[in-house]
Order: sequence, then structure tokens, then C-alpha cells
Amino acid sequence: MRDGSRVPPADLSAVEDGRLAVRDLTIAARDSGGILVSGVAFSVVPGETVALVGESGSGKSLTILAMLGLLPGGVVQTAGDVRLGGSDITGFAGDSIRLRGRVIAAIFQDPQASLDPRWTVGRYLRDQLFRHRRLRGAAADREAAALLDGVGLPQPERLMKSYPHELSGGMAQRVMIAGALAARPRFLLADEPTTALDVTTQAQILDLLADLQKREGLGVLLVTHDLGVVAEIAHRVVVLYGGRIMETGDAARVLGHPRHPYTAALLAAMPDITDDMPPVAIPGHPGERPASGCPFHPRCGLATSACETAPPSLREIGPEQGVACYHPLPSAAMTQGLIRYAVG
Amino acid sequence: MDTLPLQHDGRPGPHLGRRLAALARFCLLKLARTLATLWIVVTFTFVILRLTGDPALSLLPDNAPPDIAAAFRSRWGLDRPVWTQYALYFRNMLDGNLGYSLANGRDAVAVVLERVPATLRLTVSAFALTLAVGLPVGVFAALRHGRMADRALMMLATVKYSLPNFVIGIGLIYAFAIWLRLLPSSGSATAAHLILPVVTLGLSGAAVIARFTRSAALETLGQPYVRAAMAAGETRTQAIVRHVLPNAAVPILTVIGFTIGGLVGGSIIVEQVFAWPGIGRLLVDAVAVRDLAVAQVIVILLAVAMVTANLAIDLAYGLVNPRFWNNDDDIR
Repeated sequence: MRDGSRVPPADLSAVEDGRLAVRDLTIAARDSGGILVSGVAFSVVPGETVALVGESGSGKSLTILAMLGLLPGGVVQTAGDVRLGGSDITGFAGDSIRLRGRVIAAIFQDPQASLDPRWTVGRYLRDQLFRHRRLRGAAADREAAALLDGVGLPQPERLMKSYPHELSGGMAQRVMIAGALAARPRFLLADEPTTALDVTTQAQILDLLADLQKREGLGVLLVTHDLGVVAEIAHRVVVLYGGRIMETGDAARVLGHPRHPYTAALLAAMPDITDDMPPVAIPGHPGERPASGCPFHPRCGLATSACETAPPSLREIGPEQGVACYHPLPSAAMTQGLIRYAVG
Repeated sequence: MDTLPLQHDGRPGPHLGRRLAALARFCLLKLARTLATLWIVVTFTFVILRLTGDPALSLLPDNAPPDIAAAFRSRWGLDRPVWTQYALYFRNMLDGNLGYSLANGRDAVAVVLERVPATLRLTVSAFALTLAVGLPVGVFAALRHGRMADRALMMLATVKYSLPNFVIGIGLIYAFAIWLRLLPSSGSATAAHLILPVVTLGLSGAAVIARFTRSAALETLGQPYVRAAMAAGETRTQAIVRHVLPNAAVPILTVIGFTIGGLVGGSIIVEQVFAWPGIGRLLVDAVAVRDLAVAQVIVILLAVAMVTANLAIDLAYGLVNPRFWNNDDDIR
């Protein structure tokens, strides 16, 4: 085994306050060559939560897997890079593999299945602590107990002896988070961390993530299809559709006054008990990917012939807000009326 | 200490007493099943051998006078009703007497035991070859899933799996003994004599193990915890060694159990093809001349070997599966 206690040269010092940036990320199917993610770019700095939002098939999970260098077989990254504080860590190739799990940690959708069924919680945590911090023995046990305490799990001694099948989904996700934090990462990539959990547990895990993000100064990249989750904990949001960024910007601003018809439609499709209007489903199906033009145009009430020929590029339309649309919605006042028009 | 030797350290589990009771129950059940299996096997061969031929006819010369044949039958008790012979057989068995070879009058157990080392040499080597080829090929194919190497290996394995051992054996004799003149075709004089029979016997098990290892490894490779382990900092190789292989071990163990059965059956054929002086050939000879006691002893021995192999597999399950011994309540 490599000596992991040695800090990788140059990388870490540059990383300390560096941002995690994805540029022009393009992912394609190996056999058909079909483009799954196209030109996606965004960045996360330590201390902020960025939400990557979209329906299934929007490419949000592929984006995270590409950042981790863990794309499934049959899918390849064809362009773009991932940078951490200026260093190229695309796919964690070469020496940068040592930063995976250490500077950039990740948690996933199905926490129970993400833990090896043969490993106790204690073995998992001790393994993480040894790999990333060379802690072992009593020191590792103490730190593991502290980590479990930090994610709100009582009775660490008992828990350390438990197997994943003995944990509830919420406990398993807390254990995953504790394991991810064992390395003291700067960034946490969370791929739908609450989707598999029941609603009350979801809220608890989100609170925990928000809490840790503040306490540890983590940069969190949160993949979700749930705009409620975004509203709750994200500082900034990146809305994906059909493998392209539709809209990006400050979370409150984007959710409050969406400028992209897709974002607006997504919001209108959300049930809201404080609103008299019933949720409006987006017509069509996210699976229908047009051969050309804006990926959303077949489902968009505002689409014109321009939308069918070439995809619009992401344009800056305000402070830290961008939209990829030929017909962006006007701001604030007229938005609500136009949503209904847009979604027909 | 409150752990069984099989227990991984630090695992929560019931009290030692309860665990030992569970183990004792497990062993008693196994013992009862073993005895039942042996009884069925012995009864079956006893009846079949006596119903399908007369040792007096197959062992004595064709022109032996009828009174000699009658004396032979009476000498060995073959003139009594089958059920009397059957009862006597079991009574003698309690005294540790499993009978004498009708062919040469020697103790049947001694006749069989002197052939055991040759068979063990063949089957143990073949088993080692089965594992040494089957496991790596299966894992390799899983890692190359869908590519040329995977398809080629799996096609080979299917071909090997579909061909009976004697066809492979004769093919190997033709290629290496007759055509290339590299290896001896039969007998057991030197280590070189071991190669062809071991390859014949070992490869058919290897083909089965490779196929199952591949599918078990493929399924485990797709598990979220493998991806999570790599996201947490493990390299692909580490994740395979630490997570994929141990978790794939349970289904693979089951198949290894089956291949042991295949080895026992296969060795009978292979010993015949390569004139290997083991118990497989002895069994074929004994059945041919209705050398009753010898055939019975061999059948009992094979049954015991199979049961022991299955027991070993059961215990190995306990080693690879932490839930096997752990019936504690959820702490949820």
C-alpha cells in the first residue's frame, strides 16, 4: 500500500482555498456515441452548497460520477476537465487518485447498499481513518466514536459492532457521512442522499448536511430532483435538462424568479400547500431527447423554430445568474402568468 | 473469550452458550443426515449389485462345475435370501467388518485403502487446478465484461463444459501422447503421468467455476458499496480484493461444492481412460465381476467423501458470511 500519510505535493496547498470547478464536461455513450451530458460547467467553493437539479436522465448523477472518475462501463467522458484549486484532477487520473475520498468525499443514494454487508460500521470507520489519517488502535476508535457522535448517532460502541443490515436507512446514511468526513475532506459530493429515505429522515439528513457544511466549512455539491431540498439548503443551483445546463444562479433568486421556462415548469409542477393553484405537470416525457436544438423544446410552450435548430448557449442575465434560452421569461412580476402559458 | 473460532472479531452475537448450542444442533443434524445418506447409498448398491448379476458366474471360470459354484455361493452366504444377507451385512458392519473381496479373499477395506493414495493424488491435484484456473479466469472475464477476452473465455468454458471428460481425455492423449509425443498416455509411474489425467479432470471443474465466478463477480461489481468504496479512496484493485471477492465468495463456494462431487464422479471415468490405479478403476472392475464387498466399501467411501466435502463447504459459509452465526436482534 502506498504511504498515504505523505501529503501530495503542490496539490493540497493549492487546494486549501481552491474551488472545485467543472468545465465543459461532456459525456457520451461508448457504443452509440449518443451525448448524455454536454458542456456542463459550474464550480463549488468550500463553505457553500451547490445543488445540481434535474429530472431523471438529466445527467446530474453522471456529472457527479464523472467528477469522481467512476463513470459506469459503456459511458465515457469525451471532453472537459475537473479542476481543484487550479490542479487538473479529471477522472482522478494518475497521482490525483490520492485526493479521491480525501479532499473530495462522496455519499450516495442507497446508503445501506453503499456499505459492504460484510463490514461492521467500526471496520468501515477505522479503515477510513487509517487510509486517510493513519490513525489506528485506540486513537482510531476514539475518533470513530467522535465522528458517529458528530453525525448524531448515539451509543457509538454498540454501533461500531453493527453490520449494515442492522441499520435503518437514516442511520446508514449518517454512518456514510461519518465515514466521508473521517478524511476531513474539503468537498462533499452527495448524489441524491435522501431519495431512498422516508420523509422525516430526509429532513434530518438535510439538516445534518447543512449543519456540517457550516461547521466544517465544507463545499457541498448536492444532486437532487427535489426543489424543496434545494430551497432548504442550497446557496446556488444548477438546473440540468437533457444533459445541458438550463439555468444557474443564486438559489433563492432562481427559485423565486426563474428565467428559464423549464425551471418555471419544474416549480409549477411542485405541489405547494400554501398555494391555491394545483401543481401543473410538465407535458411530455423527459426521456424524449430531440435530435437537435434545445433539449427542452418538444415540451416547451414558448418554443419557436430557432429552438429546434441549435441549442442556446448559457448567457449571463444578472449577477451570478445564467440562462440557456432564446426566450427567457421576464423577471418577477409577469412570471406566474407566463408559467401557465408556457406549460400550456 | 466469547467468540467461536469461526467468528470474526468484534462481532455482536448471542451468548457463547446459545451459540454453542446452535453449533451442536447443527452438527447433530449433519451427523443424522450423513448416517441416513450412507444407509440409503449402502442399501441401494447392496440390492442393485445382487439383483443384476451372480458373482459365482462372473468370478468362476465358465466351465466350473455346478457343485463348485454352489459351494462358492454357500461359502460367501450368497445362497441365503437377500434380506438375510442385508441384515448380516449390517451386523458385521457394527463389528467393523465390511466383508472380504470375492476375487481374492482379502479384507475389502484393505483392498480399497491401498488404492486411495493414487486417487487422492489425482483428485486433489485436479481440485487445485480447478481453483487455480477457474477463479482467476472468472474474475478476469468479469473485469473484461462484454469485451473480446470475456467472450472468448466464456465460449471456451462452455465448450469445455459440454464435452464429457472421456472425450477431453482421449483428445489430450491423441494430441500430447500420440501426436506430440510429449507425455505418457497412461499409467502412473512418474509425475509426468499425472499431467494429462489431472488436466482432464481439473479443467471441467475449472470451466464451471469460471462461469459462476464471472457471474458472481459481475453481480458484486455492480453493487453500490463497490463504487462507494472507490469514492472513499480505494483503488479499483483494492475494491476488488476487499469487497468484490469476499462478497462473491458465497455463491462461488456453493459451486465449488458441486465441483467436488463432479471430481469424485469424474475421477472414475478419468482413471478408466488413463489406466490410473485408483479406486475409480477398482470400482469399475469390482462392479464388473460383482465383487460385492469391495464395491460396497468404495461406494461408502465416496459417500463419506461427498458428505465431508459438503460439510467443509457449510463451515466455509460460516467463515465468509457474518450473518451465519449472528442471530442477534436488530439494534434499530
